[in-house]
Order: sequence, then C-alpha cells, then structure tokens
Amino acid sequence: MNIDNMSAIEIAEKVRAGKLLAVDVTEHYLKRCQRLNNRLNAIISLSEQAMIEAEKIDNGKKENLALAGVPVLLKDMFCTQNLKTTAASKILKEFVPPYSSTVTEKLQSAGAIVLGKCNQDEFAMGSSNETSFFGPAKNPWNLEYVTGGSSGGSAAAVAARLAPLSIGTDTGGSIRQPASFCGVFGIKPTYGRISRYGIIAFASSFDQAGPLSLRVKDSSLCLEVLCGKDEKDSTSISQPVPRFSNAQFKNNLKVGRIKSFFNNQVNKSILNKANEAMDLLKSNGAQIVDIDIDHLEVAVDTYYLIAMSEASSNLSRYDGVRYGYRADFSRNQPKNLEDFYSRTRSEGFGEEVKRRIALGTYSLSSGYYEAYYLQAAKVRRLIRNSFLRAFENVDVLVSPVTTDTAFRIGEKTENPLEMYYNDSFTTCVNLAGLPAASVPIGFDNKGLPMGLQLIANDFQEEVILSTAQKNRGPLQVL
Amino acid sequence: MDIQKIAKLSRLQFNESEQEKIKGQLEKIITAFDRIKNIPTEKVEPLITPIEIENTLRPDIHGEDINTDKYIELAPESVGRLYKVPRVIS
Repeated sequence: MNIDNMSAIEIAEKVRAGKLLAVDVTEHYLKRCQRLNNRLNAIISLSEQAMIEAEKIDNGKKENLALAGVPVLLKDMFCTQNLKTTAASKILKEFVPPYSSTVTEKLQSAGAIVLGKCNQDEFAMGSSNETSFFGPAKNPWNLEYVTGGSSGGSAAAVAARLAPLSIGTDTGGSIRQPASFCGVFGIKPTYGRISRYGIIAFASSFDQAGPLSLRVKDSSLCLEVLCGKDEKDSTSISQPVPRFSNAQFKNNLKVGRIKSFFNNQVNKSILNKANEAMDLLKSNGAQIVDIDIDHLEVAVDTYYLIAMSEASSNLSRYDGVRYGYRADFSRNQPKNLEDFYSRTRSEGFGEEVKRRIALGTYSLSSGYYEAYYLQAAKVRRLIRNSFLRAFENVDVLVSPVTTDTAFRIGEKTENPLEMYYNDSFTTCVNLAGLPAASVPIGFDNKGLPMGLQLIANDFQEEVILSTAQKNRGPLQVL
Repeated sequence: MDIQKIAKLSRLQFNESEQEKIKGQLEKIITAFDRIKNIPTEKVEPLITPIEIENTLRPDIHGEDINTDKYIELAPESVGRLYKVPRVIS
C-alpha cells in the first residue's frame, strides 16, 4: 500500500474499516516530515503527541470519524493545547497555549492526527513567508523560490506530501496565493463559516480559516468538519453546513470573467491557462460573460488600511506582562511603564509587523481616522455591493490568483509596497467576505505552478468545489 | 508624518536610523493609499464586518472555570498567583 498516494478520504475509509492503522499512517508522515523539512522549512514544530493520538484512534470507536487517522498540519496561528504556537514571531516563540482553537478541537474530534505546526509569515503578515522569525519556507518546485504567503508552510507541506491535508488562514489571500504558488488546492470559505476561536488574531473582520490539499474532495470533506456556528465566536454563522463532498457540477453554470484582472500585467502563461480552463467549462455547458466589479483598482489600498488598523488594535495585547517574550530589563531598568511595553514590543516584533502596527495606528489616529479608516470602510461596502450585484447574474467569478508565478527568495523584501500589490486579485474577496479558492491549472515555462481563482456568493462554497472538481482532467497536473 | 508621535501611540521604539527608514516607507505607502480619497462615498454607510451578524446573547450561567495557575505559568515572571514586572515608577 502506497500511503503517499492516498487521499485523505481514502485514508479515513481504510482506517475506519480497520484495513489501515492510524499509527502506520502517522509514523509514515512523521518520518517524511523529519526527512524533508530541513530542506523545505515548512514546519516549525512537530507534535510529540501524534503517535499517542493515533494509537487512541486505532483502539477506539472510529465508525463515525470523518477524518479517522488523517494526518494534518496546522498553520502556527491555531492554538494547540500543549503544543507550541508561535505565529512565527519572536514575541511568541516559546508560547504553549493552555487551550486549543475550535478548529484544532473539531479536527481532533473527527479523528484527524495533528502532526505539527506550519511555517508562515509573522502574524500572517506577508505574501511570501519571508517575514517568519524562523526564516522562509521554500517552494518544493524550486527551493530558491518563495512559497507565497502567509500560509506558505501549509501550502509547501501539502505540495511536498508532508501531509495529505493542511489548514491555513486567509486574511487577504493567505490561503489562495501560496496554494497557487505551490500548485495545490486551497479554499477560504465565507467569512464566519469557520470559528475564529483560538486563532491568533490579525485582522478580525477578514481572518478566516480554510483547508489546503492536493485533491479538491479532501478539502470538501475537511470543510464539512470545520464549518458551523461556535458559541465561542459570536461572528461565526449559523448557516446549515451542506455535504460539500457531494457537491455536483451545476448544469448551465454561469461564469463571470472579472475583466479588469485579465490585463497585460499578468504573466501570459497564466492568461492562456485560465482561458483554457474556461474553454473546458464551456465544453461542459457553462456560459462565460465578462463582469466589471467597481473600485477594484483600490481594493489593495482599502484592504491594507483596514487590515492594518485592526492589526494595530489586536496586537496591543503583546505587552510582555502575562505571556510571550519580555525584553531583558535586568541591567537596564525601564524608565516608565511606556518604556517597559515598547522595549519588549520593539524587540519582539519583526519589521513588517511593526510597519503595519505603526500605519494602522496612524490611520486610526485623531485627524486621520475619517480620511483613512472610515473612508476605507465605506469603499469596502461599495466593493461588496458591486460583487453582490454581479452574483445576481452569475454563479461563479473567475480570475487569475496572482499576476505572476512565485518569485525568488529575497527579490521583493526591500520594497513593502510592491509586496502588498502582489495581493491585487485576492484582497477584494476578503473585503466582501466571499468564499474563494485557488485551483491548480498547470506550470509556466520556469516550471512553477499557476492557479485560477474561483469566487462565489455568500455560502455558495459548493459551486466553487464542484467547478474546481470539473477543472481536473486535462488541467489538473498533480 | 510625525513618526515619533506614531511610535509613542503604537508603543514601539525606533532608533534614529530606523526612524529615518520607517518614516520613508510609511510615507510612500500612505501616499499610494491616498487614492481611496478620490472615491465618492457620500451617504455610504461604512462596512465594519462583511456578513450581517445578529447580536448574540446567552443565558448568564456559570461556565467553564479557568485554571489560574495554568495561565500564571505562562508569564515571563510571577510570584505566587501574581504577575511580576520590573519597577516602573521611581
């Protein structure tokens, strides 16, 4: 039996039927992680409890466990009781949470085995995994290239088959962009579908968890496990959770092509493959129309202003008093309370995080609040309204995920603004709160993977999943 | 942009060369973002959270207790059940 080639669904079926032991699967993947991670740097910590958890699955009742014995890697934003959770930051580098996130608990109750925690950009702030305190994760298709970010480790790990399934978070594209750079499937469901309880907060009105996998169906199954109202997160939504893994391709599917995203700034190979993907949908009975969404040219600006503002508030909790890093004051006593806080924070946060806290503070400060934060929140409504109007006429919107494939490590670190504009096609979706995915569609002439973005209306994840499933075959390379 | 004021409000410290660098970067970013000011937004309500959510209420009953010792253990320094910090007033 070749465990590497098994889908999460197959593993769970075989473990439930007693044809495969969770301990064997777990041991196999743990060894693979240990063997390959020094080259990929996709994982920050491996769990010492994984084998014990697997044994419990093997020895317990498993008929109703949707993910029985399925190894899963979590981005280091998800609190895991008794397992280090760092957000890839110096300020949390030794933090062991006293509780688990709802996502962690739901996965474990469904029989999944948490193998360990994935590398990422610090506090999920970045688009290349290069802001991590633990150094960049490497793209498995070419180790000199970035994985994308911020869920870079989660994407690289699935691409390199360190686990059949991983979990990321998407605030402005942080699941879709690395999924596209690493050639895997990744979906961010509708805002509120998955509880944010126990996920380290970056920008609360955007943050949303989601799965990454080689196969669309494995992510569908994972969504069934993760979605649903959680009393511990009052922004989670009490919508019924469909059987995502049964989603059927819609007859006479209406596809909207976001016109302004198919422009001459985009790598030609991506445009060609995206057009091929749409031809494939057409041959399956889909209708394709061009769609304009208002104000997309300022989506990145709008997104960053709001996200940075929310981040500056969320990250005020790191003060060196109750948990996390504290600067060494033994030889140099603090001058006052403010000096105590700010010395710890300046040493504990990396450059990009400090830039965002400072800019968020600026946009919320007296005299600038109306021009920046409030104006951005108004533009946000205009963008969401425009998307909702589009969905009166189409079922799904299609665009590239990024203007280009992965770039070289170090190529863009000196220019933060250029890095932000990497997120040109993804941030608009988070502004609107909509579900969206990146589907692998092939490789460019450098051998680097490319992705297609599928966006649906609120709670219409099934349309994305079934359309992505249809895109397999000629276009699905993995 | 008054970088010293922003640093103070953000509870961050920058030395002189860092100040120069971050001021340049922040000004460049905020100048680029200034474009959003050109979008007409009169009578538009700000969107604070994307999906309409209802106010969530629950009965006021005693829930799970937090184990204080477990949380105190996470502190950089503590004495018994108290957080310990260096002297901050002279």
